[in-house]
Amino acid sequence: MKVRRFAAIAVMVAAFTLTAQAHHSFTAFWHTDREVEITGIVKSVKLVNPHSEMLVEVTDAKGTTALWTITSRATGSGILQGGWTKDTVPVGTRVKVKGHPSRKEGAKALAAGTITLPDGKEVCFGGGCGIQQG
Amino acid sequence: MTARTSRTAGRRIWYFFLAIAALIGGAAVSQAQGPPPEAGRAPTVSPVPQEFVGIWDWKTPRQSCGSTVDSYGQPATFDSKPGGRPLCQWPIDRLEKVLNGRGRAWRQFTRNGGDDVISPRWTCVAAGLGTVLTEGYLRGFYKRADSLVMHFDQSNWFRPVWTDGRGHAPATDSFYHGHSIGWMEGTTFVVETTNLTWDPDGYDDHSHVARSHMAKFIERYTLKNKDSMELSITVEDPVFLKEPFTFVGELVRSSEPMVATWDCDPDTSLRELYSTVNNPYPDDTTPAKYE
Repeated sequence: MKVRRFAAIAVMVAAFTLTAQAHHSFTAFWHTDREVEITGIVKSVKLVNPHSEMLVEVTDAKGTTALWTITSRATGSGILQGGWTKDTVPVGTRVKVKGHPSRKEGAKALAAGTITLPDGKEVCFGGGCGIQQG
Repeated sequence: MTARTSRTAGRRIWYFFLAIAALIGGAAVSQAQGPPPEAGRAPTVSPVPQEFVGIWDWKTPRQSCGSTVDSYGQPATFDSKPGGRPLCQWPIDRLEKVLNGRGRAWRQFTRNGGDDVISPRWTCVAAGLGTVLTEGYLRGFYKRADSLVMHFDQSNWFRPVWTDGRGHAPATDSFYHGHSIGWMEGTTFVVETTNLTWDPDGYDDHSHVARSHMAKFIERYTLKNKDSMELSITVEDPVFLKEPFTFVGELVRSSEPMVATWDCDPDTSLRELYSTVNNPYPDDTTPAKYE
């Protein structure tokens, strides 16, 4: 009897957990409560819709490289309206990116945010830093 | 004069009267139909005041239509901080309350089922009517003899709102953005849109609230002064809504130039999607390309 009751409670808890996971908000895609910072070399920049994208090559202490996808928190048109051009962050620039990590386990992807250039200048890649989120 | 000559003269007179009658009749028919319209243009029956022409934006701050939840119904602000500026988008928390069983079931299938890929946004389909009307982008209004043309920066979409008195297209003709006609009611420009196709993201491309082919949008643009107007949008949709739903916001005249481009890259878009969600279908090999 006790086993049955325990099983019933376990099923209810599992069901509740699944429901809670299913109701994630915009944060269905990103851990907006966490921040990750990476530093690397810009390999490409696409000012496109629905969201702009920057690919950044990061080299770890062992010399292994990995390509990170940086997704803008604004639309491509929002970025252009905010004054971005292809020269704002040229390919080959060493940048520091602080953003929210992907919810997908193991994915090398961030939603950003602010990009810091080698001279310390910060540019907004969408979101609360001055270009509307989209 | 012989009898034969007399009959011939009689026929001629008879034909003369027939020709006169035909001419009079033809003129009468022509008068009833009115003069032929100028090629490609019908008379404007509902002139739109010049004050509506120009570039419009949501009142500053740009996204200020009063929604304090995001497309998923979670607390959110434009500034991404508590107490920040409200978002200008369909207030999903209120919209959810008027969804009928079908509407709720669809939202559950697309969102809770994790099938976000079904949203047209990921493959660069232009935003639907509901999204374009409410998202925080500039819009330009231009007058033509037969229409008011609305140009939206969102999806770089040009929309003719016919003001020449024509009715809607036959019900057998349906369009992704519908068929729109407009007329003046006092200082209010009313736009009625029907003939829509089914849209899995009918209100906001994040919310996954469906809109059916039976939906009707009524937009009411009311000038408050030369630089400001209220926009209310009422949607009737017997397939997915229990009752009509109304969105209200304020537009102000803008001096900003429009971007007027909407370059979209499906590869970038799908890489974003598949780097953030798990693929729920093991037999779908598409995500492998983006991992």
